[in-house]
Amino acid sequence: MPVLAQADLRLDAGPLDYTLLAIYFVFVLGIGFLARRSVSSSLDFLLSGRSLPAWVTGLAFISANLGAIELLGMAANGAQYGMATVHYYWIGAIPAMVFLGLVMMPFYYGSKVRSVPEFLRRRFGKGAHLVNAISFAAAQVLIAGVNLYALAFLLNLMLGWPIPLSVVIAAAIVLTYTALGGLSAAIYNEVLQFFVIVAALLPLTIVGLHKVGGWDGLVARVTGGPGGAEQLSAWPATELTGIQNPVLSVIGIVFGLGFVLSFGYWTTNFAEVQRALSAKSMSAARRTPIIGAYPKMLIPFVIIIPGIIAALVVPEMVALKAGDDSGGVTYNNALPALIGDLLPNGMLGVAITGLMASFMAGVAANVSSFNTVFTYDLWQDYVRKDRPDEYYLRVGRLATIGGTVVAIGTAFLAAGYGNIMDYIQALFSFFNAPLFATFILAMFWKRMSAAAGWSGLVAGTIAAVGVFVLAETGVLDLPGQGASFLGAGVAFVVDIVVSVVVTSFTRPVPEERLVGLVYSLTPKSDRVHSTTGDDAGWYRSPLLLGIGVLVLTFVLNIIFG
Amino acid sequence: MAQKAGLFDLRLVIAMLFAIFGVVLLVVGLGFTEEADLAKADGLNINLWSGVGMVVLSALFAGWAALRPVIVPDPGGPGTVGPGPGGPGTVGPATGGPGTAGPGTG
Repeated sequence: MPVLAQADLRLDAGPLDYTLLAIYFVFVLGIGFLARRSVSSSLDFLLSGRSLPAWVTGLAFISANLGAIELLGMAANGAQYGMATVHYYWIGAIPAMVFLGLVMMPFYYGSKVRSVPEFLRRRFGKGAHLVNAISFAAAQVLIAGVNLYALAFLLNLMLGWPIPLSVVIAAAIVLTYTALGGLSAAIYNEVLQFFVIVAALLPLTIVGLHKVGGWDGLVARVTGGPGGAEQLSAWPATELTGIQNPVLSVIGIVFGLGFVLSFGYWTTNFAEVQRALSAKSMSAARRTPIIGAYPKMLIPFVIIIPGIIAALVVPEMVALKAGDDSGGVTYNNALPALIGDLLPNGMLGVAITGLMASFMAGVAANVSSFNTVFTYDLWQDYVRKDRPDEYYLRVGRLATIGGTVVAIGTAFLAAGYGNIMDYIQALFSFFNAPLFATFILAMFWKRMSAAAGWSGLVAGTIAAVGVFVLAETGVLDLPGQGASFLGAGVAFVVDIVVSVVVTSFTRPVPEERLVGLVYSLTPKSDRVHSTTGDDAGWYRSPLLLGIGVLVLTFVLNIIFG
Repeated sequence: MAQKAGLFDLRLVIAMLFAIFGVVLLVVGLGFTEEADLAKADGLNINLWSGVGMVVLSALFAGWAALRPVIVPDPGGPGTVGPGPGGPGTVGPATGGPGTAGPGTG
């Protein structure tokens, strides 16, 4: 951390840039105040009253993930590893998002659960529910802290604002609009943030490409650079995985990242699923992740390519890439450094606004999913049952405040890590990889018992932690993201094995309790969505939209493979 | 009777923000761009072009909102937000312990 601060990345922001930033904040807070008028129950506050159209929830779905870690981390990976970084999108997100919409959403939305942990409670009872609710709530507060810290750090670096002040200001803004307008305010702001982020990154990418002489110039300069031509192709990504054998590297990407890690993250992370649960109909809920998949497919072009360009044109980044003294600049600085070098006042302000927007999107997603799980899954289920709804609305508001305050505290836990992605991937593999295994079994295997629910989760999490510790202590030699991929894979397998073994020794859950939750016990009429009114038209068919984005992604993989 | 949604129309909010951003950048790009600014962006007047793009985006959202206004078919009662099909039960947890949301069979 102190090393970073020495690097001179101060941006030349003027009154014009600050004015644009201030205008944006007025809109952000305005949305909070306007959304407040529509909050009259806890379900309005924590789940937007299940009333939002699919394009709003779809954009919010990816915007919630487009936080600081994503933006800076992916640009950093682009600068360091090149085009292989697209795997985090094309392999590591799109298939899982389509799977969520087509296969899993009928059970999430159809069962009318209010959160992902609540699904586990209905399916397995208290054991699995408590494990998941507590681990999710803790992880969200931790990640919110990481996001806040990254924001403060960047503001300090770019604008010279003191770190503690930045943490408090950013937290106060997020807190104001999420505590006022609840999930609606968070989601509406996420959609606005999405467009601001694109408005910041697209011009940056255009100027950057112009600077290196267009796409041909980019290809020529990367080929001649220290990374070589292999940084221009997505496969086999041996540098990214840290696995030298190309075949094993591809298997690691497809199974570790593509299957376990990404399916675990996108299909069971409540911060994401919550956006779909707030949709106004089953059809809109199913389309939410699939509509989100289209921009998700294209967004690497304005995040990773600027990262690659930064490693070509920013002198400190060029030195870093060549292995010379970079004066304390790290790959995580790729995006802010390129912004500082290429954008004049005006667009500079938009870019700073875009970065701020991204950071706040991440924090707001964490906070608004934390408060729901805290209110419904922890407080209502285990602390104070059977109170009037106004009581839980108040608890939701207080949880929002409490979660933000704890996040400010945990903001400084993130300090000791070089590449933020490593840290966050490790966290995800602890909780999400076994979750996906449990959910798939839970939704498609009616025999699975309650004891198998929690024991599989616990065993899988322990296995992931085990791999992480082995990698950290050097027993397993996997640099890059390889350890996370392996940890996720091992956790998945251990969860399945433990669940199957435990089920064979314990009693199954009575079938009448599983209607709507398990595939074979849910009537087909409950799984299909309406195709009339706002859900009519072939272009609103989840299946068609899903196939479309998979085909396009496949084509992109061939073009850039 | 067609009625405006209880929630404000997000498309108009997006249109307003980008109208302001776009016009500001257009003015800066046309009137206040110096050689140094141009040199920084490799000769492109990026403020001008980004401004044009944002004004177009703003117009698209305003046009969409004007052509397809948000309509709530029938307000379910004071304070309820657009009643989704299937009526999710706006005040789910009021009636009892966990699991009252119903298994979703009907």
